[in-house]
Amino acid sequence: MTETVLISLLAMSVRMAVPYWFSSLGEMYSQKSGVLNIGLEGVITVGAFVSFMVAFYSGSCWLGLAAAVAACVVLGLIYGLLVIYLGMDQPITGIALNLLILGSTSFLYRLVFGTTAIAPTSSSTFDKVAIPLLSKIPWLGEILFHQYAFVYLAVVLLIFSVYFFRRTKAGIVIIACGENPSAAETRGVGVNRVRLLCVMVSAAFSAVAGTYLSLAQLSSFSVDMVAGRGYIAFALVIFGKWNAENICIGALLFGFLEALALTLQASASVVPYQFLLMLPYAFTVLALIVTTFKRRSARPSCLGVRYRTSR
Amino acid sequence: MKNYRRRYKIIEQDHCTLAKRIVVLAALLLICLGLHSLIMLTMTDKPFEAYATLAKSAFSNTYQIVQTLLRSLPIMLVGLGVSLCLRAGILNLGGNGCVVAGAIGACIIGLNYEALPAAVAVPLTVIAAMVFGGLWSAVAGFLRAKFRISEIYVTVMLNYVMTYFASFLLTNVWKSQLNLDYSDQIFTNSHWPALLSGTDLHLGFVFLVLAFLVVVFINRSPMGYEIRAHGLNSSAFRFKMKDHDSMRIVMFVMIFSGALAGLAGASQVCGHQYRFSSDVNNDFGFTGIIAAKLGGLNPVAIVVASLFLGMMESGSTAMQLLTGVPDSMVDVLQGMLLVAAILADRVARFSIVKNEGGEET
Repeated sequence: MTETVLISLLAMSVRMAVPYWFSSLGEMYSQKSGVLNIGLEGVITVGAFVSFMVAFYSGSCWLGLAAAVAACVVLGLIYGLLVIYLGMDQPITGIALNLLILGSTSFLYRLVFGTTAIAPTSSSTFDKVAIPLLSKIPWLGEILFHQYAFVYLAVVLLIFSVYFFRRTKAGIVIIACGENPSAAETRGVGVNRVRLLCVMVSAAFSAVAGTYLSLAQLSSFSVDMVAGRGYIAFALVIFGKWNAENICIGALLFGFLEALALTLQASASVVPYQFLLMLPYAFTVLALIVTTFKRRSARPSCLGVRYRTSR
Repeated sequence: MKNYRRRYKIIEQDHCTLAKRIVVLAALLLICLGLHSLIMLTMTDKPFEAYATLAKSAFSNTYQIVQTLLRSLPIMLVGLGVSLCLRAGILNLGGNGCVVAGAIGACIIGLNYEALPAAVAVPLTVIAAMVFGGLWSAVAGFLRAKFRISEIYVTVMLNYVMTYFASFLLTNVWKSQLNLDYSDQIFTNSHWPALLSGTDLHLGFVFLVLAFLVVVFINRSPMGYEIRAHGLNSSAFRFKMKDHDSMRIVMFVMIFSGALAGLAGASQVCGHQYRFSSDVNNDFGFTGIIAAKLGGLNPVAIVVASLFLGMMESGSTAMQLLTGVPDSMVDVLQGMLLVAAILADRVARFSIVKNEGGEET
């Protein structure tokens, strides 16, 4: 009995970790290049909204995913142009975009569907995929190898990111843009172009996270469904010290917390459920405090600082 | 094209004149309104008529004017408080949490102490609200001042924590017999008295005037100078002054804005709702930031901007009834206004000047 509960809890943790995993991995690309993308919350919302809308009307979740990625890349482009080339203050611009997006998506959603008691659901959603042999392994099979395709994609992206930043020239160029942009420019790197590209990549990652929320975890969209995950994903990058493996461990941790809260909420417990739902948010603050006690900061030294090209 | 490039160039300055900023802001607001009316065209044939309905119904009679004022009061309080934070370079997003914290503080007094005379109960609600709001904001302020943890995430996270805590209070502690969503009514001794008999204009407006004067005073005092210096370049500030001066500034602006936000929460509870519910906070934390940014951090302009935002909220219901435009379109406009305000701050610093020859770029 407890065994099945534990297995389902762990499997749920993996599922809950996916949005954090994608969006904080993406945010890492943007921050390594020196741009804070606080609009993450808004980008995830757009991803969830667009993918749901497209899937609802076309009946294909893959088309929804593609549309979400396209919409979010455009959004990343706009944000990037504003903060990189126009030099607007990065945090407040991100917040402004978040507000604009939250207002607009709720407006558009109500415009299309009206205020209905039952949320409309998309007929086409992503299903769980069992990997043939591995999913037969007793414990692990259920937890790791009988999941949404997004989970496998997440692992692939993690391995790619680690390899990308450690072993490829492009990765080093991105790090250089965040650490010392003028040195990068003397080597002939178009710093602002690299940064813009990285912001767009991070937006694309968050689009996948949003699609996962609306088309895999649920099959509907609600305005506050992202519920601060964008900000938590942002904090995870700091918590993980701009290091892909640590970030993903953090994402799993937060997925576990969320799954724990939901599991305990379902079984009537002594603790009121609101305190369980608080867990991820309160824990984020704790994680940020713990991170400051580490001696050496891995923060890119020109993070959030605009680079004025001399060309 | 190349010829023009040689003759003119775009330069960027650190400062811009007030007049230029206003002109740029007005132009951007017009563009926003144009874009927004295009969106409105999807729902109504006459967008400008809908705007007119909105403005007219917000000021149509005494009752509506009072409603508009009541809706702008929390926005003004939060906006005034957060303007000091923004001046100090602190992006305090914790307004929502502090509003709820202040409302909880006022409710604790209002729901528990029936025997107190009104002359004691009313000041107590104010003090409790300001202390609760200030303390809740001080958490993020302390983490920022002591450990340099960015206040942005901490305040957002604390907002969620406070929202769930309020929901816990509503379902477990202050559960009323009739309805799950509301607490019981607070006792009449802690109702804030009306300023004009027959209207809902309550004591909160006196506090607004006081808060306004305090903010103006701070802006003109040496403290205000330090706050501005901290906002312009905090590392230079820490170099010139001492590290604990930076901490003092951060703590002060955070606690001050939190206390004002708490007051806004109390004005909702003791001023006209008289009970605790999730309606206490209508996203005032973010609307306050919009007001502060739209007003360019100037206290007078913040009050005007808040009135404008309050007008949109109170008029939107009538507009939905009369023209069929959903009231959530106001949310879209609010987001646009913030984008326009910060864009104006930036764009006003660019200017096109004639190339005086010599250097070719």
